[in-house]
Amino acid sequence: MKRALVVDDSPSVRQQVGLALRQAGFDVVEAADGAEGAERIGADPTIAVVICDVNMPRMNGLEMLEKVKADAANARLPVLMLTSEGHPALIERAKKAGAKGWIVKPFKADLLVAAVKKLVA
Amino acid sequence: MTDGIEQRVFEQLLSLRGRFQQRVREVNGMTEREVMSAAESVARIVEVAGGHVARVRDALSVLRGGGGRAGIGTLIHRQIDAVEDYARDVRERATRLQSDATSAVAHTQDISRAARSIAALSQEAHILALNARIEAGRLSERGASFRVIAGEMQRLSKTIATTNELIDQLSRDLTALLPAIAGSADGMEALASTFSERFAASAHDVEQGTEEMHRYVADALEHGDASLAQVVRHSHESLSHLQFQDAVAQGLQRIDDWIRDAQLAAAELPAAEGRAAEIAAPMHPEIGGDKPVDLETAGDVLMF
Repeated sequence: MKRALVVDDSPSVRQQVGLALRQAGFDVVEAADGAEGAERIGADPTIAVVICDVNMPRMNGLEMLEKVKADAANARLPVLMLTSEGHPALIERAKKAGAKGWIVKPFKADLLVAAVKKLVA
Repeated sequence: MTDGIEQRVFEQLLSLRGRFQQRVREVNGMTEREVMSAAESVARIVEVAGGHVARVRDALSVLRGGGGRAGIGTLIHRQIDAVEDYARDVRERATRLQSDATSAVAHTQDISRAARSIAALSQEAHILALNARIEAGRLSERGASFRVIAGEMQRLSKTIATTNELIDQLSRDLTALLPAIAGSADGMEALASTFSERFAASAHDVEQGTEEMHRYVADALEHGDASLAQVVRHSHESLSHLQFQDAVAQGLQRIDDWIRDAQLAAAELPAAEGRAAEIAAPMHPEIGGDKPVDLETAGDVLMF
């Protein structure tokens, strides 16, 4: 069972993403902001994929992405951004930092699950 | 006078934003809780449906077998084979018994013939003993030993005759009994044959019933899987719809940003000088800045 980390400051979004992924057979762990997300990634090498919001307190999703990807150990860890943001400059920044995809909220659970499965295949 | 109005405007904005933030937290907290309850219900529906399908799958695996365990169909087949083997064995033994009984009749006839020969020999021995006794009488004292032998021969002849009669009687009894044994064996063979035929018909019905049961359970599982896939799909749709809460929360937090902008503008008024520090930070940081919910691109997946 692959482990997915969901990073979002909204408990309901974490819950909805978690339910969709659990129904698809993933083991899901959660973090409430970028700082906690980065910590969890550093502490848990079994995390196979990260689904990360952008706008979050303490550390936003792009900062977390850049911090995590600065560590060579996470070079192959797929990160999927899930956000209400859609500005091309932010998408480009995420791409440059090493994100594997960008989904605009509100997301369609089927498409999210398909994207996550593709990333861990 | 103007200072007083400016100050009141600033105070009003502070108060308005405080109350607004309080209400936003209440509304967001409430909708968050409700949405999460709804999502949990959706998850429970999927779990219940999944459990039902899993039980049908278990039932089918019991029927089909697997994982080193024989299925019911296989067990029934084995049982049918075992009973058929047993019935065949009984039939063969009955046939052999019938044949052995027929052979035994022939053997008892041989014994009867042998008994008749022995009876003739016994008669001859008896005559010989009588002759020896006559000869012993004629020789008087000198024939004493002859007399003893004649006596022994006569006793032997009688014993042989008695034993022979017994053998002859046993042979006749056996001859009379063996056809009954052969008849019983014949009946047993016929009974075993009838049982085999009836059992074969019943076994066929059982096999058909088992196959039918397999089909029903497999159909139920197929429908169950399809239904479960639908339940999961609808649950995903429900989860997608439940995200209105996130959009509502962000919308309210953006209004907070607008009020904050008004506060910052009011803080530039001379009467509010030095009070900018009292203005609270935005409720929710947004690095992309203020923008409406883009329903056109919502749900779009962009893979790099």
